[in-house]
Amino acid sequence: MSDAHSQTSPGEAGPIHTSLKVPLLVLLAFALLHLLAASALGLIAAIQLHTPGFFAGCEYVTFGRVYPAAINELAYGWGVNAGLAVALWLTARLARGTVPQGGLLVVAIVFWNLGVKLGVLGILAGDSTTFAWLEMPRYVGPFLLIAYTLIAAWVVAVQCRGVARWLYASQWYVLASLFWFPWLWSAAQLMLVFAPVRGTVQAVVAAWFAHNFLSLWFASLGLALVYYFLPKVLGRPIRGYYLSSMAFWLFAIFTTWAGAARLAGAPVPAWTQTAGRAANFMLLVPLAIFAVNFFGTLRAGGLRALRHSIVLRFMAVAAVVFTLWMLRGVVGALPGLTELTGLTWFNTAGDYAVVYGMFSMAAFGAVYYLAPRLLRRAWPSAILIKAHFWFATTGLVLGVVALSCGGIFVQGIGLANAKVPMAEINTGMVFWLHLATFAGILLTLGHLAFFVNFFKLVLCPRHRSAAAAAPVPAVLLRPSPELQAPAR
Amino acid sequence: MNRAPLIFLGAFLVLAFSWAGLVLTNQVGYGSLAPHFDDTENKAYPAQMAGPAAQGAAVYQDLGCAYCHTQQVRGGAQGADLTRLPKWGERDSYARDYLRDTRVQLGDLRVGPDLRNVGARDTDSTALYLHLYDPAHANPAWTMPSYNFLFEQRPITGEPSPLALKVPVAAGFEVLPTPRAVALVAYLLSLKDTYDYPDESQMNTPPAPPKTAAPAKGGPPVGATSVKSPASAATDAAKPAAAKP
Amino acid sequence: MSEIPSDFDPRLEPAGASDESIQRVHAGLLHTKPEPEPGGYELTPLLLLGFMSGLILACCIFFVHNRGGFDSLVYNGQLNGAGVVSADLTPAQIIARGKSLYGQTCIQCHQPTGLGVPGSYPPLAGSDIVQGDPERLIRIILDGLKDPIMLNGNQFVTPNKMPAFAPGMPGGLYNWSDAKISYVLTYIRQDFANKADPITADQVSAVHAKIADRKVEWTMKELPTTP
Repeated sequence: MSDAHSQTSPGEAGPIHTSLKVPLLVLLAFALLHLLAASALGLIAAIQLHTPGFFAGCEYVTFGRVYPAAINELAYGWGVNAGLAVALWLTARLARGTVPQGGLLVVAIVFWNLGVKLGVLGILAGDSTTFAWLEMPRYVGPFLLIAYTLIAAWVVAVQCRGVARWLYASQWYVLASLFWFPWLWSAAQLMLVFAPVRGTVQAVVAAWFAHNFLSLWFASLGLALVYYFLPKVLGRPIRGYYLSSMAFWLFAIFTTWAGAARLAGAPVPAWTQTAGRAANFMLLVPLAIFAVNFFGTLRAGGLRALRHSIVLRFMAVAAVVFTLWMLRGVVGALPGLTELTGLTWFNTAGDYAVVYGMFSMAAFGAVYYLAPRLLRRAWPSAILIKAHFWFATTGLVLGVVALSCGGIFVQGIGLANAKVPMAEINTGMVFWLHLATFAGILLTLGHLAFFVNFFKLVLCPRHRSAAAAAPVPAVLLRPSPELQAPAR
Repeated sequence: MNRAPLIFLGAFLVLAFSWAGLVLTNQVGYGSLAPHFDDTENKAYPAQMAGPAAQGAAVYQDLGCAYCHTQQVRGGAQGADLTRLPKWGERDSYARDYLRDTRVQLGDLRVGPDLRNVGARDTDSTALYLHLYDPAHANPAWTMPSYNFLFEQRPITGEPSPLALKVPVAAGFEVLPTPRAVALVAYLLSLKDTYDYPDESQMNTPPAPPKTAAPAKGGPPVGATSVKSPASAATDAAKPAAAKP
Repeated sequence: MSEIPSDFDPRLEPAGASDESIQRVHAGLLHTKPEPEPGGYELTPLLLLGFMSGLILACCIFFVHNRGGFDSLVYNGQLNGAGVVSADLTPAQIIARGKSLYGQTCIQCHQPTGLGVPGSYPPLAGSDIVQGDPERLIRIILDGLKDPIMLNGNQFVTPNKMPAFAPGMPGGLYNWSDAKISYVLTYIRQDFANKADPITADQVSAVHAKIADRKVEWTMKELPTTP
């Protein structure tokens, strides 16, 4: 196939993909490198939880530092890079706008990643702020905000240059997330680090930030991807789409309050705790709509499609985990259970579920779809893709289930019983923490498979000489079929 | 839902709503809570943190102790913090307890015991040093890592130092806490919320069943006091530290 | 690459729909409710509305029951500030404060037992002055008492005379508020096997207002002798 052909008949989004290619690949490459670093740090922390002698005596790798470093690598290194990548890609595709000045965008991306790296090293050196999901030391805070704002401004610029007449559901979530993150970040940094509020108001701000970061960045971008890929792959419209705008606003309104439920039992005013718990209950309404939207569409599209489409499988896992995560919030807020689950691994497992099970799974699926289209060649190995999917899914389920079970049945019940000494809880947790470490190993193996496949795809040394002559797969050149409105 | 500016505006308002409702309301409500001045004791509570303790708070923060240890005692139906032995506190924690903490580290996961009142139950600094140096020493089930990098081995010059840890060490050497360990232990020992604030105490105790037993008839109601006098606080502190929780 | 991936190659996903058609179709769907299909699970807006109303009601009830009186200092939501509006100290708290005050000051002369030191400091335990007329007791503690002191036929020569606790007394070092004075008086009237009614801050203030101009200690003779 000739060069001329690949440019004149680009399947879908030819010039858009050309302008996206470099910034998107840079974002994804950084995201993947951070993901590997997060896996390594996370594994160290996971092992230390049941084998305290592991790296003991080394100050920089002590649990209290490795753990936040791993979390921040995952959240800001992988999460924000990958989130910006999918936001940029979805916006360019759906608004049908090209990326202006891609070179400058790459500079901003490099700055963001320098900031994250510096921040993680700062945490390892002991400069953490100790607020969950916001441990980045104060000296990188403004730096990160500026770099982020530059990148996000680019995405908005792409949206403005676009010619599309409609905004699809994915775009609501992308645009809102892009805006929510700096809003949250600057408010939390200001009130916690630069001009700290006094006393336990700090805890309120920290809980407000942590929950909103998880739901308004990770969950929201994950939702954008699921909303996009279900019709994209299945060729069917979203079931009950007319409810989706209501779901968007209700989700946003209630999830922004739900963070206060993290403070159940803490020395913050009772009404704040109760408001957070009530907001968790109210999230059942948008959840019902999401369930109709996602599972209705999946069912209508036929479960057979899951067997053929790896992208769809990732999206289905993301949708299921998201549903379970929301239900977990309701369960954890119920009277009687909130006392049992408070301050246990059950809550922590929920945080991992939304970051890893919801957002990351959706982002993996998106990368499997978009990378061949950017590079105009197929993934080098189908086995590695499948390996990644199964390692990630098994690791995710095993890890979250192990921590939730241990959190409730050993830790929660033990803490509620005055006769159970703390050492006994520790002993009881060791089994579940071993399982979690095993889950971490599976996840890391999955990431390695993804990493190898991605870099082989991008660098493709075997085919470089023949790249020009390599045929572009027909799937990438054929125009996508038209979506049919359901028969009335 | 077809106008990007409307989505931005809506997104801004939604987050602003929760910020105003949760953060701002609480900041206005108790953000400027003042320490309580007890005019019978002529002291303000919570007491100002002493210099070494304040340095220790920074060590506590930089080592990330808060990832495994909470600093919040939950009363009422929440857990068994007040009933386990040794107690994790005499009462549940109040917001006023945290006014002197520049960085409030409530923590959200209990891998180890709560430390809000560790200074009230472990009064022996030697035991705390040993615990930091070798946590498995007291209980092998303990999954706390060793913080032996907070200690140093030095050749004994002249008299052995009184601070030296009683741990096996090469002859002619002794293990001494570094200034960071000293500060950290000073901080841990300073963690005790033994003073009960009258306002919070009243507001968070369920109203007593209506038995109007005025002390006028009841003789000396010493044991029934809900306010801790310094004398009784001191007795509590002097109780020997029981086995590790 | 040698082989060209087919449509079902897992290395490559075919698109099921173009972006433009996704947007166009959904833009239409956003405002049209599809007919419910027989057998299909179509969540009607009515059902959703009912669910939402029920949930709102439940959440409101939950919130009202656990709002903790909307007070920033209430951490136990179920209390709702019920019965906690009173700013007064409980009798037990008053006694505790009085005991603490006694321990800081009075204890040096009157002793932990309240028995005093024979010949030097008069006892409080079983004392008529302590358990008798509140006004007399309040006057003594406000302005102090000069030697000689005669009690039940025993004379006391006090090395350190009974000081004045009212603010503004010459030579007074204590400057106690009326409330503080009432705590310690209530305490001494109810400990050491004494059994007398408590003294309130208002009682102290009333006496204080009466003798506000007096700037010297009392003598035994000046005090009312009624019990």
